[in-house]
Amino acid sequence: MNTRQAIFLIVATAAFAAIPLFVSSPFAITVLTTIFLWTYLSSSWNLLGGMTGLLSFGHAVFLGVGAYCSAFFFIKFGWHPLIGGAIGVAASCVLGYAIAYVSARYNLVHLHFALVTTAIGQIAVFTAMGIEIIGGPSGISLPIRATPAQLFFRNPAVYYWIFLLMSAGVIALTMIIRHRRMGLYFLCVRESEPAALGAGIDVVHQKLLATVISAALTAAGGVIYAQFLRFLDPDSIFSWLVSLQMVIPAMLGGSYAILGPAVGSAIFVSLQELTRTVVSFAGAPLVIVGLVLIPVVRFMPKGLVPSVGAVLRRRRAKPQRLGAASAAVGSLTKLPKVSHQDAEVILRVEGLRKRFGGVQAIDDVTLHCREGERLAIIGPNGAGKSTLFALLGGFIKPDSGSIWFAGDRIDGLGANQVCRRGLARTFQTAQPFKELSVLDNILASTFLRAPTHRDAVRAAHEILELFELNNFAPEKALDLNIIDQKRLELARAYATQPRLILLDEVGAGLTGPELKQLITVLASLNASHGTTIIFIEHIMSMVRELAERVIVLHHGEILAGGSLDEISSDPTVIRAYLGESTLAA
Amino acid sequence: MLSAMAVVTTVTFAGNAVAQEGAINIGLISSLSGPIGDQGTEYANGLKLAIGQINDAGGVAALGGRKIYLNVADDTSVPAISRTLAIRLLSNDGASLLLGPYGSGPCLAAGPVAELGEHPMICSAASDKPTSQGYKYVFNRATLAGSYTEAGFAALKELSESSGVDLRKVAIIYEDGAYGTSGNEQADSIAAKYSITLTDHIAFHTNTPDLSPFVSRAVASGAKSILIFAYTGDAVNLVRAVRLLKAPLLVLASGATNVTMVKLGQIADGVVAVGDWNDDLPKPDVAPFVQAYKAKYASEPSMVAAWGYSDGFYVKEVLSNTGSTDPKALRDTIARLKVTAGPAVGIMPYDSYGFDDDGLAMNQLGRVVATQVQNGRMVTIWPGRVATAKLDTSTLK
Amino acid sequence: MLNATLQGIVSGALVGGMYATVGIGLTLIFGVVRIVNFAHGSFLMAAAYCSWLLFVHFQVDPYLSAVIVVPAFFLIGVAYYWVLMKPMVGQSLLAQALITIAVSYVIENSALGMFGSEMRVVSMPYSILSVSIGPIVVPYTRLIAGVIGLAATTGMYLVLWRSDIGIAVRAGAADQPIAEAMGINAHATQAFVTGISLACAALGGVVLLPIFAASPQMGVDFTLLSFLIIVLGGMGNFFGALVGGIILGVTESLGSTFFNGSTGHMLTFALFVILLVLKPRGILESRR
Repeated sequence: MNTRQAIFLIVATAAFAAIPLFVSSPFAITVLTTIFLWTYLSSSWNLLGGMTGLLSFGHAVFLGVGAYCSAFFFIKFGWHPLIGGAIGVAASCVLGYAIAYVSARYNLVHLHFALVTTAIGQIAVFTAMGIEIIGGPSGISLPIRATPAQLFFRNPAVYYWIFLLMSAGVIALTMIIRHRRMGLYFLCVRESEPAALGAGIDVVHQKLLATVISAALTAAGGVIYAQFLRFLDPDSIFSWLVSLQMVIPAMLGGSYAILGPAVGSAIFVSLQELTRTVVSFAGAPLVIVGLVLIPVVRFMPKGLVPSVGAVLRRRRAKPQRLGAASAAVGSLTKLPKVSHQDAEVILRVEGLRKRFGGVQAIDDVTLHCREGERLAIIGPNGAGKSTLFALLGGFIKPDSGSIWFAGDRIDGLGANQVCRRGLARTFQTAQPFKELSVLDNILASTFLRAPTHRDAVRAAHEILELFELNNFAPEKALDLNIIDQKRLELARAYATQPRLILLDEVGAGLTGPELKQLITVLASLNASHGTTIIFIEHIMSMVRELAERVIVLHHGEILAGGSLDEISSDPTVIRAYLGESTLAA
Repeated sequence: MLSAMAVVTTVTFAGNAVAQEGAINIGLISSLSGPIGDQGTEYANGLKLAIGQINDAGGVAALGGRKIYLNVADDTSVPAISRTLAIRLLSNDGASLLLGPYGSGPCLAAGPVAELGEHPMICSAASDKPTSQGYKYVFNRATLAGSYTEAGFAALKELSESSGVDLRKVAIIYEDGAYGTSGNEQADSIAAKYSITLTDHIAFHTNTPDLSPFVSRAVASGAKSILIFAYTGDAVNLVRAVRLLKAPLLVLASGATNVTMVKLGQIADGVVAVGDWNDDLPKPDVAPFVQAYKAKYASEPSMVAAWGYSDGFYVKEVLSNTGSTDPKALRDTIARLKVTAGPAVGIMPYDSYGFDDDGLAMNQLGRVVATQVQNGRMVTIWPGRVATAKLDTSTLK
Repeated sequence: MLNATLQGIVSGALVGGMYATVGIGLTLIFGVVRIVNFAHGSFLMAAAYCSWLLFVHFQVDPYLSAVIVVPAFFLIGVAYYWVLMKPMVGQSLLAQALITIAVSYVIENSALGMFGSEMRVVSMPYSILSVSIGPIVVPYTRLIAGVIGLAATTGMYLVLWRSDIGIAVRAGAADQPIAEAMGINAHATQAFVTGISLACAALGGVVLLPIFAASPQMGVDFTLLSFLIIVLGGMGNFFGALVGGIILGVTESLGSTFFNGSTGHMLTFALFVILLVLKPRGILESRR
């Protein structure tokens, strides 16, 4: 969190805290308290939903567990509400962990996660209705003979201040997380799980972390909510409508914005109270909310705060794309092609097989690659080249066979683990983290190896330099054109300091000069850093320029291997290519 | 954020100065769904009718002819909203006294507001929870679900004796929410007192499509009568299920199921309901009330409408007796006053309206009457002192 | 016991046929238009209220009212597509979910305000009539529900799988740009499908009204139920929705017979979770 944000937060909190000194109407204070209650809950939800993209429609479970535990232990055993509350928070963490674990383990897509959490919320309602000792469907009531030490305050302003501080706290926490690796990792998970894996991020771990934190915060909110409301029943605390009340403010204000839930909550609560006061048509408040929500989602699907931000962003002039090769790269021109025939074998594949339904995509592939080598893999479309890369990168698991990298067996490892070991991959269609800035995109990769935050940032700037992306640093990745996105893709893979890099058709769509520039960059990286390069290409000129050795893949099988001249005169290869339209040479 | 503040300030002042100049401000938190007669509108209608009549007749004489102003707010049965509304009505809008909310949950949520704010609140809840919190300012005017249970048993016992058909084997079919659970809870401890054998306790969830398995279970348990605690729609489905299965059961429903039940036509014949009121009670104020209600609202009044009407006149008595609108004084009056005259009791089967030391409406059992649908009309069949017809057992064959 | 079980199965299967029709509506809109419509149940509820209103004010038989209500909702569905769904295709899940949830808020709370939360029933003379097959009692209302459900499902199958329109619809769903290149107006077909989807919901509301009662809260229940059906059957899987509906109807019915109300519901949702996790493509998913 930077100083500007910190100051804003402190000033805003102080300003709001001063309100009870001027406003004495209990009703107004109650409304404001409600606004901050939902700001807190919605922001807690948003840590999961907005930052990682996991939409939980059953978050009321955590709210209810926190509230009920706090109330139950207080009434039944006389324990202080915070003790019961702590139990509730712990229980929520366990529950959240379980939900996240099962979801991640079974690879639930976002829609399924939303539906599962909805169902869990309903299960909670019915379970609570069936448990006699917490009052069943009639609920439980907290006595008003309690004392302030037991968190019962006769002065409504106190609850207002508590929720205000809690809101400020969770917003501050969000800001802090956002500025650190955890926050960036969360956003990467949201933007693109494969890309995150490719940057060495343990996606499952991040999801678990985010869910548990969000659950704990929500449960803590429930603890205080119980003290405030002093009455709980299953329907009013576990139901789907309550879960939605945590989601709607985030949507209204914008789930991508840290202050989104706060703004959304203010509107959401005020609208309802205002409507309720003015109109006596039952259900009017929610009708109005619905009628407001529809156009907001329709025309500002990112919410109010980001939409305003987007307008401002568009006004800024776009930086020019660089034309010719600049000095930094240009100095590393034509380097002698060193032969790596005597180097250590860094990658070895034996008998690799993968089947998809009726198609044998990879059929008994055996190959090796030496450290520092520049190896090209070519073949007609559908030969299985990208599948091979996916297998090597750990994105899919082989049916049989083995993959050895730097002496260790890596088949069966997850993509992020493979990345950690030093094997990086670019995707055929660039997969940057679209909503994140170019700097953040690279930072996500540099965090992998850097020991401190500062080192990571420094490394990121170096990468920006190297790949001439400095001017784009603050731009969102999605605003870049195709060429720059490719460069970013390469930069991101490179930032993980790989020993071996898999490049999937990086040359596609580039013009002549751009291609030359790319080849130069790759050659220099290979020469100066010793990075092994295995690349899939259709562009024969690039293969000729860059590759030391070529392997031909066809129908999932290796057809031939050797130098480009050797394999181009190989009859089996020629036959495989006959009838195929040869692409740009 | 600034816009939020602007909105809130508007809200703050929006509620002020709603009351009319000089009028006595009474707040009503009405519920559109709830355990006791899901007819919050009916209650409000009955109340408005009463207040209209009081104002037309010159207001509250003892307070210099001041008129009563009724400030109505809707909480859609959500406890958190009941609480907020209670705060608004009492502190923002300056009500001296609150009527409502409906339902144990809303009552329990709004209760602390009334108690801490030291304003009396007369709510309607099916359970005794609101009055067992030790509150001084919270009163419950409703007949508890447990009271209906007990009255139901008493009725079954007496009706068995008078009709010659033994109805004392009872299965309870209840909805698993607060209302039904409440009614079921008391059953075991009360049954023996009236020589009732409880053959089964069957819980169901509201709006389940097929209620015949539950009816079958009741029959299989050997029951001769079923006591049901259900919302209108489910009650109707249960009756239909009984008729479909041709089960020889006496259906004893509780609460305000009357009006809709009658609309069912022939299949509703024979259904017995326990409630607080019927339009054929042999008391002089009943007919004028029914007429006035029909004239104003173009429909028949139900039990809940009668409650509202009765409460309107009760409040007038409280105001008159207190001689001021001071909430504390009003509360003290409510705690000791027994109203024995006027339409408050004039339309009811009982002759005294007051609250006990816990704040619960007195004479719980004595308020209940049993009615039966006979030839498309609800007639009162129990207790003897107000009955206008006898139990018809023809549907039990 | 055996009787009760058989009764439960028959009753449940009949209602399940109708549930299936409702579920198919949701699976259609999900599979073809690719939108998650959380307002599906609300439209069912709205149709039930329309039917009830026609009954109360004009004494129209509930089943006959389908003739008016169902086509009306088809048109509403088309409008719904053009105004709200079309712009949301391709938007984030959160946006789609929330706009449809907002629609459901508007519909449900308008119903609450106009009709109150009281459960509304329609009662016809045949409401308590039944047909007996051995020891099994089949109420007319359920029989009709089952027959209409089956007819609707068959009809839709024929339209969507066998006819030209159907092929166009499925082509549009499979690959919009290509379909458009071949002259298929993808938007028109998607509007058509949305209309059918809401018509399914409306048919469900009308046919189930004599069995249930109409209340504002029933919308949410039916939305969740529809999601359960398409999860059971596989999203976008037509035949699966039919199977799913019947399984759901039977489970609900047997659950009432042997358990208490809440437990049955809880088990339904637990089943939902387990299925979503283990078999996200539906129970009919064949092993790869």
